[in-house]
Formats: sequence, structure tokens, C-alpha cells
Amino acid sequence: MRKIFVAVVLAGLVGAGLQARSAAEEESGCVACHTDAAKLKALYVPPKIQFKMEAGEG
Amino acid sequence: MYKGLVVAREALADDDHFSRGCPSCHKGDEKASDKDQAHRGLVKRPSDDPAVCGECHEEIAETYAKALHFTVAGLKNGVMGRFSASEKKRFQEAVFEPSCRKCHASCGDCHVKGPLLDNVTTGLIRGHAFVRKDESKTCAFCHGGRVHPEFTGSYGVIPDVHHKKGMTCMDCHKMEEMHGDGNAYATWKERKIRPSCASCHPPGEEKSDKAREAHAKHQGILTCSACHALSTYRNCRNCHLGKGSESEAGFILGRSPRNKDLVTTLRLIPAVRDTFAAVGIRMENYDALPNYWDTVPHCTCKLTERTGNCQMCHLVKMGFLKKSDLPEGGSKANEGLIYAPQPIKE
Repeated sequence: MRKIFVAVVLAGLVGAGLQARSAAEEESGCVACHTDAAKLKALYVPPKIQFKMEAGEG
Repeated sequence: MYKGLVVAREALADDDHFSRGCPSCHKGDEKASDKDQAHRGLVKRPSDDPAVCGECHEEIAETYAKALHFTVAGLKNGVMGRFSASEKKRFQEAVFEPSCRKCHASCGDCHVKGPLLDNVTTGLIRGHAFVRKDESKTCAFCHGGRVHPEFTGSYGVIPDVHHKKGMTCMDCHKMEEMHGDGNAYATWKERKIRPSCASCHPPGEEKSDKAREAHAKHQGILTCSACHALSTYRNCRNCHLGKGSESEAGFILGRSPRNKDLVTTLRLIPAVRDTFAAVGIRMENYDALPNYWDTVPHCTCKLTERTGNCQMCHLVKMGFLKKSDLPEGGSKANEGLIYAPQPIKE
């Protein structure tokens, strides 16, 4: 009885671990990075802007 | 500016657009662990090709590919009349494609991320949610030099009455106008679907006899804006490629260049004879077109100086284009726009 109980608990823990890993793998790299404002701030390279007056339709 | 790239998790959860994953539109490598690898082959603006959205929105993508917001053909056709055949070719290659065409609106520019002008953008409209409209972040960005600030009163004058009533761009400029009808029009004036004052304000349903009488007398002679544009509006002049232009406030009445029988509000066009000299275009037919286009200033008001007093036009001739107003060195076609109202007895 005790052995059965231990086996069930262990199986549950392994299953939960696999599920967590699977969930983390499901989220793409794009989403992981682009939903993280701090990460984007660290990686962001501002574009060069030439302030010309000709752009825009008006 | 990085905040404009932050995607909201809530947007991902609720929208079917994300069910196929980011690379289905943006390509790149979603399994990569560093930025450069992840962005290899990245398509930053997938809807620059309407066919990408057309996989699901087939009909809209088909009509939009020919719509003026996408082709911006109006910018080109408005000035082409001044060019010789060889200059047209040069303009297409040296000016239109690398410069004017930057103003074209992809599907994403209205529905996902604010338009991009010279590397400047307002960023994702709502965390990458696909929105039906958000005029303050889309229309206002490209049209923020003239019509949008006129409409909102940002120039320090009274806002357009429609803005005061809580209306936005799309209340008059409908979705069908934006998406197009499948025809490739040369300019906005040729479009069949475009705003008409009469659709909400039909003649014959005026609240006062005076208004009804005034409308009946001027039917086919004046445009609505000739009387109902409240204030001065921005006119741009002296534009040179790479250097920009100057602007000034003005209010101009004259004959419409597109229909000389109609008197309307005119707006100065910034092109001068050496606007494109930097790329070798002299505009050999410069005088074929005037320096003014008919315009609908977005500063509408029911009561103006002209609606209250007929003599403002018929005696004072306020705002009417005169020879002395014409730009120095301007087109010879300008004089054809001058109109002098006849005196009347009230």
C-alpha cells in the first residue's frame, strides 16, 4: 500500500514537471522576448533619424 | 521608443491572428535564442504586400492593392502634368519610389502599428492587437501637417464642428473609401466613394429659410467649404527636395482648377520650378498646372463671416484670389483661377 502511494506521488511530480517544461517550450522565442519590456529595452537599438521636412502628406 | 515594440500578452490570447505563430507573417526563427539569429530573414512589415493579409481577407486585399492610400498615386499624378516624358520616368525612379511612396499605408499601418515615416512611428497601436481603427495614431500621423490639426483645432483656431460633436475621421471617410472599390484612380477627386456633405445635410432640409435660399442661389456655383470653412488653413510653399518647404496660414477663394465653373477654397501647392532640380528635373511643362488645388479645409463651421453677410464676398471680396496674391515666378495657369464676385443688391 505504501509503495503504491509513493509510486503515485512520484508519477504526479514527474507529470507536473513534464507539463511545465512543455508549456515553456510551447511559448516561442518571439513571444518570450517581445512581451518582456525590460528585455526589449536592453536590446533596442534606436534607428537613425534625419529630421527632414519633406515626409508626410499633410 | 522600444515601448512601441512591446507586444501585449492579452492581445495574443484573444486574437485568431496569432493562432499560426509569429513566423507565419514575420518569418524569422522563433526557436532561436539570440536576437540576430531570431531576426534572420525577418519581415518587419508583412502587410506591405496586401496578399499576406489577403490569405484570409481576400476581397479587401484585392481592392486595397489599387486603393490610393496604398498606391499613393495621387501624390504622383498631382505633379506629373508638369513633366516631360523623360522627366516622368526620372521622377518615378529618383523621387516617387524612394521618397513619396514612403507615405503608402500598408494594412498594418492602420490596423496594427502606426505608420512609419523616416524611421519614426508611434509604435504598436494596442500591443499588436488588430484594431479596426485608431485615427489619432494613424490618420493623424500622415495627415498631421494640415487637415488633422485643422480638424482638431491644434493650430490654435476653433476646431471643426464635426470634431466638436465627437466625430472622427472615419465618420466621414468610410471603410469602403479606405479599402477602395477595385479601381485604380489617379487622384482622390475621381473616387466614387468619398465624403459628401449632402449625405448628412441634404439641400431642402435646412433649418432656416435664409439658409435654404442661399443654398439654392449658389447651387452649382460654390462648394460647401467656400462658405463654411471658418478660418485660415495651412498653405505650404517653396518646396525643395531634401530641404522641405515653408508654410503660412491663408484663406483663398477662387475657381476650382478641376472645374472652372465652380468657386471653392484653394490651397497653395508647394512645388516651385526648381523643386526637383536636385535630381535634374526642370519641370518643362510647369505652367500646364496652376499653383493651387481645390481643397476642403477641415475647419468647418455652420456660421462664418460669409454665411452671415453676403457683402463679405460680393462687395468686400474677402479671401478671393487677386493677381497681386499670386506667387512670384508662379505658373501662368494661376490667373485662370481668379474670380471676382459680382456686386448684388440685398
